[in-house]
Amino acid sequence: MTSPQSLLRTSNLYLALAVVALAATLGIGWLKFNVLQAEEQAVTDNESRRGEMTDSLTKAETSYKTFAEQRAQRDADFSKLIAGILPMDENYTDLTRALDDFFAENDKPNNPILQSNLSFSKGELVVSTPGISALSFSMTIESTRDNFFKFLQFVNESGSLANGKRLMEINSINLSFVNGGEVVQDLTQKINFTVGMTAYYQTPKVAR
Amino acid sequence: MPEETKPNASQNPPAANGNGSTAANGDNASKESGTFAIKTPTDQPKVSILQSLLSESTPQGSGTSKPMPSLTSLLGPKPTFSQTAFDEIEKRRLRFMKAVFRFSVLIGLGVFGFFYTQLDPNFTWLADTLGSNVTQRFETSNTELKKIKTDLNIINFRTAKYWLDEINSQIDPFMAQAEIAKSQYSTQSARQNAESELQILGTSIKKALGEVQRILNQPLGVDTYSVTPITLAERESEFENLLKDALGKQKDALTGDVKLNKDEIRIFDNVIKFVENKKFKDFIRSQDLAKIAEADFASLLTKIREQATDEISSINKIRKARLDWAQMIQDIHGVTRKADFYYGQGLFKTVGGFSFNSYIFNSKEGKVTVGGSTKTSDSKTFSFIAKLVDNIEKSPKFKNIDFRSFTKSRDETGDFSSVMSFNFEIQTGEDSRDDIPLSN
Repeated sequence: MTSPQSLLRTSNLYLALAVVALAATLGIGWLKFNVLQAEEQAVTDNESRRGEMTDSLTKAETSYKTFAEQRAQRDADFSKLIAGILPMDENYTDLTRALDDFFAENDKPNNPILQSNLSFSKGELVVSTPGISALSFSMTIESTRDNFFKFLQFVNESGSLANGKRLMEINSINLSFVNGGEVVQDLTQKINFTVGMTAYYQTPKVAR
Repeated sequence: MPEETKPNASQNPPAANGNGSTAANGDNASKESGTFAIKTPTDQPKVSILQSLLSESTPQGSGTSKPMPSLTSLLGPKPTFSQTAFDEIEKRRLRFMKAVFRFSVLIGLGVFGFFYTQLDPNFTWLADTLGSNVTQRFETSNTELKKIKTDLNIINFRTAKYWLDEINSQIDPFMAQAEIAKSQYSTQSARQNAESELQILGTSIKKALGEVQRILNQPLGVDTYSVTPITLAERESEFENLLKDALGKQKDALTGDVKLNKDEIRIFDNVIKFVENKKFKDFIRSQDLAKIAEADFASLLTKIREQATDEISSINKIRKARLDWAQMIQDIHGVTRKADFYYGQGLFKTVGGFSFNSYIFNSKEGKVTVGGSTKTSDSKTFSFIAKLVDNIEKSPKFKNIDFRSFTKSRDETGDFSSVMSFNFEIQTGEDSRDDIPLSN
């Protein structure tokens, strides 16, 4: 039997448990209440901020739409420019025409240039530049020294967004001077040369 | 439990010296009997306390003398406690405490339940009737803010990408004009025109860059409430991921018809690439466009070009790796003139020197072959050739010349001539044999 003086009476135990339960309830309740109150406050605050941000978003969307429309033409021009520099396919016929245009434009009676041979290989992937393929071709040309350097400049300026010409590169040049040794200052000096070149294009997404 | 009479106070009067023996006796009696109930002695004369006090107040002179009553006699017998009564009380107390405990537990469960329904994000049982709980509303409102901010970020970054494309489209014309403006071969009017164009293009590029900077300087994130603290860097990272995810989803939505949406997909790819390129964004952000020097501006444009869209970046990469053949031929002329001052002036037949009649260039192997002949009036033809060999090797443009076999002949006029073919390589880095290292 429990001694009357003992604190370990069952009733006291229940009292203690009740006190602990109430204390825990109070403590946890207080913490949870704070979280609840903070979240309520946050929801209220977020509501007002959402209104402001939605307004900003609407304005930004309107502004972007106008901006994008203004730039649509430029984008189209830009895409066209890129497509000229790096076409979506080998497009060797376009390249042939572009080269012909250059030679026809620069072939003058007193300053001739003649492309006597043009030969294309099959295009292949450029390992070092993903998404890009290379079309190799070679040409045999007879020209003056002046036109030879114009040709080098023509190739060197290709691939520029300033002119939109197809991107090309000379890999090899084998040139010889028809009449003896090189005379640097003689722009009419005849040069026969063969060039090994590469024209670049975007690797088609669909295998051919 | 049996009751027991306590010892009579009158039979056992307290000691005159007050040593408390009475109390002790009483305790002993209680312990022996094991009872605590109160019992009035029956054999004690029934004298009330009032009577006792009145009798005490009788004057001395009356002739009667009574002993002083003790405090014990005044207070009566010591109370005794009943176990039954105690158990009864304890039972009641226990019942009460159990009730208190149950009530506490109920209160606790109630509180827990209430907060569970309000704070658990997964509690949806009564959502249809009562609506979302506080935590759900809290999370929803946070998510909404994040979504709005992410949508805003998408617009901003797409706008920034537009501006960068605009800049990229102007870089080549800018560089071309810069070349004309600097070239010693340009005419005065061409140079003036180029400088004027440069001004216009430069201003336009800086304006576009300013727009990009304005966008990049805005924080990606928005300050939302969170249960755990979050740093600014963590918040920015979170919103960057949200932006990338959103862009990815928008791109995925377009992939149904790849061919039809090719341009739009390309735009998304480029925007995602731009968002991910922290180094480039930091670089753009750090530029002081108002004070930028000409050289730094050119370097900035080069950097922008490198980070441009895939196509522009590829074009730039190929163009950068491409050799300038005209310049290379001029470089060969330059080193040759160090050995033969009159090279290429058409004086070979009269003065002698070198005369090249063929060039073979191969950029893939980086090799150059120059074929020609030389003529000297004295017999030191080999020394003359050796000088050119040295010049080519010491040039920062060429290296590894290999010419080990010298032959010459004397013609009818007494001049010495030799036919040679030089093989050497195009130099791209530094070479210890160079006169002037490239870094200078």
